[in-house]
Amino acid sequence: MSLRLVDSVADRLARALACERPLDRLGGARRAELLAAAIPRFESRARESIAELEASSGLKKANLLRGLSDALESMSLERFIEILERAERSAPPGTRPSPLGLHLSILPSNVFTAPLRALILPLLFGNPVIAKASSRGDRLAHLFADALTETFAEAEPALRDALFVLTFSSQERDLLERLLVQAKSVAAYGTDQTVRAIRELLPAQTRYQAHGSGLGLALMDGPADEATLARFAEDIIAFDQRGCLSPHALFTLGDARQAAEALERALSAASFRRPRGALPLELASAQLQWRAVGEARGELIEGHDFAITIEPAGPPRISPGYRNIAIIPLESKTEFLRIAASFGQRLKALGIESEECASLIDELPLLVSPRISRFGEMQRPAIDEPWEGLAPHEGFVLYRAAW
Amino acid sequence: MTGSNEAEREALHAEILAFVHAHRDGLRDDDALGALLEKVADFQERAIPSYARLARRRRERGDARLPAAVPTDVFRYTRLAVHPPEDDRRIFRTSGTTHGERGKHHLRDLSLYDRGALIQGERFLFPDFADGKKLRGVILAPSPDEVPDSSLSYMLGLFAEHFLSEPEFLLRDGNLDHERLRTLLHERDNGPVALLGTSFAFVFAEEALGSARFQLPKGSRIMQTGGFKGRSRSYDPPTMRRMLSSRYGIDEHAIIAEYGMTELSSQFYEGELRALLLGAAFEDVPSAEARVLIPPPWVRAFPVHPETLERVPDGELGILRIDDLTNLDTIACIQTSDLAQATTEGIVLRGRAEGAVPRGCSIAIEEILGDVE
Repeated sequence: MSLRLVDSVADRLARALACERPLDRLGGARRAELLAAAIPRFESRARESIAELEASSGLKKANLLRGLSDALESMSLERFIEILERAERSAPPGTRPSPLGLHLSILPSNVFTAPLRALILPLLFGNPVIAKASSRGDRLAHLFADALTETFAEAEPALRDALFVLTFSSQERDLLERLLVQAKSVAAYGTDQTVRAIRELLPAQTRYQAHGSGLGLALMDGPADEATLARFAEDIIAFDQRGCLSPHALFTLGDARQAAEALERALSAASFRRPRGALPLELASAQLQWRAVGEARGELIEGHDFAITIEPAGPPRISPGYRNIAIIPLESKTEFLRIAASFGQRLKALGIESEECASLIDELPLLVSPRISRFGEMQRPAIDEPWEGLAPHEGFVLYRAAW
Repeated sequence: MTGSNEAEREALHAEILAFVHAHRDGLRDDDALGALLEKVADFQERAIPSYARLARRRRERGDARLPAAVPTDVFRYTRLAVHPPEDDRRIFRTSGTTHGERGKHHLRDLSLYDRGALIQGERFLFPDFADGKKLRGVILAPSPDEVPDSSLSYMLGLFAEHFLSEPEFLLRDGNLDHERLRTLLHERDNGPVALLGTSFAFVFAEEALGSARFQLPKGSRIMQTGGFKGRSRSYDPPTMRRMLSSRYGIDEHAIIAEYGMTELSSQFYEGELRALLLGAAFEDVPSAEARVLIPPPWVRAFPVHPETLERVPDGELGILRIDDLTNLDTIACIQTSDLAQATTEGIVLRGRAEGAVPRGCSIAIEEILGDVE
């Protein structure tokens, strides 16, 4: 472990902890103002750094720009205030929400804009943040931290150390442990194995949000018309199908072949506008394996940078992402419910195309609470939406008696 | 199979058996191997409809220089055999998943498997025990009677029969009989031991044996096989070798890895033990820590680029393709997910390609499907 890194972490921890009280005293409305003020500055930096973001995220420019504008769409002062007000409304009688203190965020790197939510929400509720980024995708988090630090430095200099992003390897376990023992709350994004390992390192009193592995599914009960599948193609190509909200299988009560052919046309057009990024070796291998099963069955449709397989009825053969999608015929919605429920909490998103499909959510088991959205909206969650069944303030506030 | 197919199959079987016998000394003739592989793949394409579909698509994409290689996942979802199910003599299955399918290798005839496995075993594991002499055998794996669908247990059963005296299989019902293991390893007066097993069974043993250390008699050897996919603990090969060397008191050169797959009929071995016992030199090692796995002369193995399927230059990383002549009744040309580099002697494994999932809440297929291998 580098001694400079250790010193830097110790120093940063001390400075972030010193921000706990002033950030709380600032009040929610002022924090919302400053965060909202940092957004245009960040957006401008991100657009200037598009080449670096391409290299860091592995996405092509057109897809990056679309992902950025989608992510920032809901990041406004009004929405931030609404999030704060909802937390107030949720307070038990005689209490008010208070920050927990230093928050540690182990950031995701599969979707390049995902760190924004992970950084903004704890800060909005008055918690200083130290974030651990992965070297495979840390550029955007650093850009946001720079924009926010500058905004704080100009308006509230005492808070310039309220957010710091560190990039270091997961092998640096000692360093991670130093951070974990100081944090009052921790949120970690990663595989189930990773988030379990972090839980084991945490002191008992630390609040913990674990965002483990997950995926999205989609359900279509109507005809396979071009407009519907064009919207669904957007859900597949966004972030190159690498997020936990990305759909990996489309279940249809209609004609699966017709749906596959319409989706091929939609994906060809969408991929032309926003081509897929480079395929890492590991993923290319998984893609080869996955597509070959379709090839051997004679049910594979391949485009320039995507593929569709028509699968037999039953549980899905999960695609590796990167614009590979399975279409699965269904006998009934009951069958879909059974399959969806089998994924449990790992089912994080459900794309639908009709009100009737939306009502299905009520029939899923209690612990299965995917984000439900229309086709074309699966990968555009607003910042004030619940995430994995949790309201935006959950995990970041403590309700204290209001004196 | 039709009568003409049957005759063709018998002719190919004889030709392959002759090829294996002619190359039992390890000398390669890759031109002859390539020509025979073409004939076998052509026969299989005519007999297996799903292979024909896959091969046709590959040709349509302009990939026709080599017979199409079938990715291993296809074995999980499609029957790949030239003969009908009623002619299956043995079915080897890959490790299970709770949600997915297990890959199946349908064997009609084990004669090619047996011949190849025994030649390779004698060459790399027992080169000093020819002519019917046998070595004491301790096996950290289930017996073929307990798991008749495990190709590894089947191979170890062959070794037990042909090369080992009083062999004992010490993994039963998923439990390692570590007391028996201690007893057997302390019997120094009975001569050297061949300790054979899966990598994970050796890790079990590490935990079960506690502080016990052994000094196995000179001439003892260890063969470990298999990785750590789906396991909570894993060790890189050099660490594993050091651990075993320290525990059992034998030279690291007497500890070798075997590489095989359910979908194959042949095995690869590291050559260090053979070199140690026969005084041969093995210099084709890309780094001090990496070891080369040597395929038999009836197998062609090389890494390819996963998108173009082109062979990558020696030393570059690709995914391992294996063309196994002895897979006559199933599929000879197999595409694995193992990352590998080619050397002049063989290949160096660099892990499995499925392992790297970008960090985040995104899909981790093995986890989502609840792999319980």
